[in-house]
Amino acid sequence: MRFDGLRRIVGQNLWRNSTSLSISAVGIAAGIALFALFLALVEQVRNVVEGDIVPVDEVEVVPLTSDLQRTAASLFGEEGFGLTDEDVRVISRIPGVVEVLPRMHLKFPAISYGGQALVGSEIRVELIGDGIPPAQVAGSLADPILPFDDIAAGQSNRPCRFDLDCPGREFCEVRYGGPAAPLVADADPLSAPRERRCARQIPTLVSRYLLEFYNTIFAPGHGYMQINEGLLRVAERELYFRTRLGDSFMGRQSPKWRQRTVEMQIVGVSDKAIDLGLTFPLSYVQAWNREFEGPGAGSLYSSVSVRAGSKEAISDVIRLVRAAGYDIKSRVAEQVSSMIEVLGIILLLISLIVIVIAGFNITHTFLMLVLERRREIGLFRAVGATRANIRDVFLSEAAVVGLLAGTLGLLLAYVGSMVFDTMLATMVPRFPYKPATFFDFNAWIVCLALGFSVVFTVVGAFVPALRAARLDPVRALQ
Amino acid sequence: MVLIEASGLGKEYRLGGIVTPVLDDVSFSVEEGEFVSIIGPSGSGKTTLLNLLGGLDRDYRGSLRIGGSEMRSLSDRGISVLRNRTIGFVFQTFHLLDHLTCIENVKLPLFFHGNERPEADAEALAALHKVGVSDKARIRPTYVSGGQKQRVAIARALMMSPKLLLCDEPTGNLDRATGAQIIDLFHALNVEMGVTLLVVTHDERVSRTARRILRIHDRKIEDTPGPGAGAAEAMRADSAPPGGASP
Repeated sequence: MRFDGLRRIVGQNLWRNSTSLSISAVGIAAGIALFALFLALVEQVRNVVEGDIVPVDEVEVVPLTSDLQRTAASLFGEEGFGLTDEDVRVISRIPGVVEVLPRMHLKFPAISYGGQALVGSEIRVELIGDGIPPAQVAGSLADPILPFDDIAAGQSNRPCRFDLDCPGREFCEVRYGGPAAPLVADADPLSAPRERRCARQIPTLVSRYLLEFYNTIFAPGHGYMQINEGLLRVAERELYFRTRLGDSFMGRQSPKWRQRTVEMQIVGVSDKAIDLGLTFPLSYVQAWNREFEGPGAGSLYSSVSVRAGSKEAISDVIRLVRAAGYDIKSRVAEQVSSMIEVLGIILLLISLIVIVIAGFNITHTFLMLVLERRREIGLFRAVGATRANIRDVFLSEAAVVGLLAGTLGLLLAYVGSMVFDTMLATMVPRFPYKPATFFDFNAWIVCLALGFSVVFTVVGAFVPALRAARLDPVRALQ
Repeated sequence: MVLIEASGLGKEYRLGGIVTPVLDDVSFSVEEGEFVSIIGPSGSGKTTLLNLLGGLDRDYRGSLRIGGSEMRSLSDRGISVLRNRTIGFVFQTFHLLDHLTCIENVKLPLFFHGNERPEADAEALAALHKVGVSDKARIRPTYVSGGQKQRVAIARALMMSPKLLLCDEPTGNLDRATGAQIIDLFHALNVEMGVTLLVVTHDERVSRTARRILRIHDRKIEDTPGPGAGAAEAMRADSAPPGGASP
């Protein structure tokens, strides 16, 4: 059949049957609107959860708890339970691994307090923290007030009694081990002399997650000012606080004589920082762990963050990591990801049910049209139309109806998303990672929605089209 | 040259276990350029025969060849092309599509086969001109008279320049004067364009114009020369080119 002929016949048929076709197309449009809306919602949830909250291409590798050799070493040796530099090298050589980041947690209690200048009230919290190699994050920080690097040799080290005795961003630090000793001595502090010398504030990183948590849960509850990354940069000079190492609100504390206070400075926000806590250059954590937990506590890593190239590659990496004799810390990302998948499937099923019902409506409408156009079909056959030509006329009409219904559905979905966004913005209080929009309409959703619309409409019209094609021309013309 | 060749043609209808024979062992042939009238009482099988000849119904016994092709053996596409290129249909009820203009109705066969032709509009207009309704080209059939509708239907049947025109009671829905005009038109098409005409009719005037009459009676066909044979022959001789042979 010639294309212009098909185009004209289809165009004229659509025009004269516009009312009945529009009514049946509304069902498809409604289904497609739900379909696109749900897909866009799931997509945005996935973007936020997997992109910002729990990156799905990243896992945290820990030693296998059933590793007897490692357990025995931790019980009877000095080093404790953890991963060595050799483990880090082994893990970094696993195929698919793009980046490894060894982490060492603080193995002793500490309390941080400060924030008076910034939020107007002193905040006191039990410190959770870890250390990472600064070289792996320093490049991603934009012009920090202090470099995020290891214990600086450039600090003045001048003797002091108070912080005021120290220059710039230094504080008066209590040290053990005498004048010649390094920053922290391995010697027993009881026998070691104490001295006070100026040291640089400790550069500290926070995560976006922590900021979100503070802004949406902590700050509103306590009436504190909210902090965003921009404000952090503007107010960086106010972002220092103190930490009492060895002290705790709860649980085990170091003896009072051993506790000491250091000053910390937030220098930036990083995805590599611990979610709920503070992250320091590794050498500080190593030194503190040695100081408070013994010489062996500063040599083993608690875990290694492993990043694969993509979300798809991570499962292979996990398999190989496990095969190499390591364990994966609870895969929150995987669980969240699976939950999103399930939620997405449920929502899509709902919209598909609507579309299928609408497809039956399309079938009914086209069956009526076949009846209505019986004589016309007979005439078409008489003037040379093949069965396939007749079928193609009906299927083409269905495809155009599907395309228009799909477009209408997408428009409805878009308008619906704006309404929902407005409602959620005004009626639902802020929560961590609450996005500006809850829907992400990207190109593949648009294509998929239009494709589904066309396919379901054409499938709905298929039986009527076949019936029309098989119509006996003699009977049709009667 | 033989255009239609029926041999031992039989047709019966089955309805609820009841078999009703309509045509039985019918044999005849039609040469190109003939004007044949098919007559017979109601229910005798005239329209059935026309449907068989047009390939609309291919459930028959015996043999039926149009232009040398056995109708039953053609594929759906083959029979469709034959209907499009070789056969034109004119119906009692016109079968014009009211949502199309007259010229669009005429161009309808073009939609299904053939190549895109820029001159299609001119050809359709020429077909309308041939049947005398070119002034109605841009009007929808709803707004023209019965006779004009039938002329538009004839123009549509002529659009692909078929060899064979099958007409089913073409004057049945027209008043006497208009019917006469249509008969004159058929006569002119047959004589001037050499179109082979098979006209199922109750109209005696048509029978009188035809050169040959196939009378269906008791499931058989009686083949007799028509009263118009001489006149048509004379007219054909007049319009034939010198030395040209006519069937």
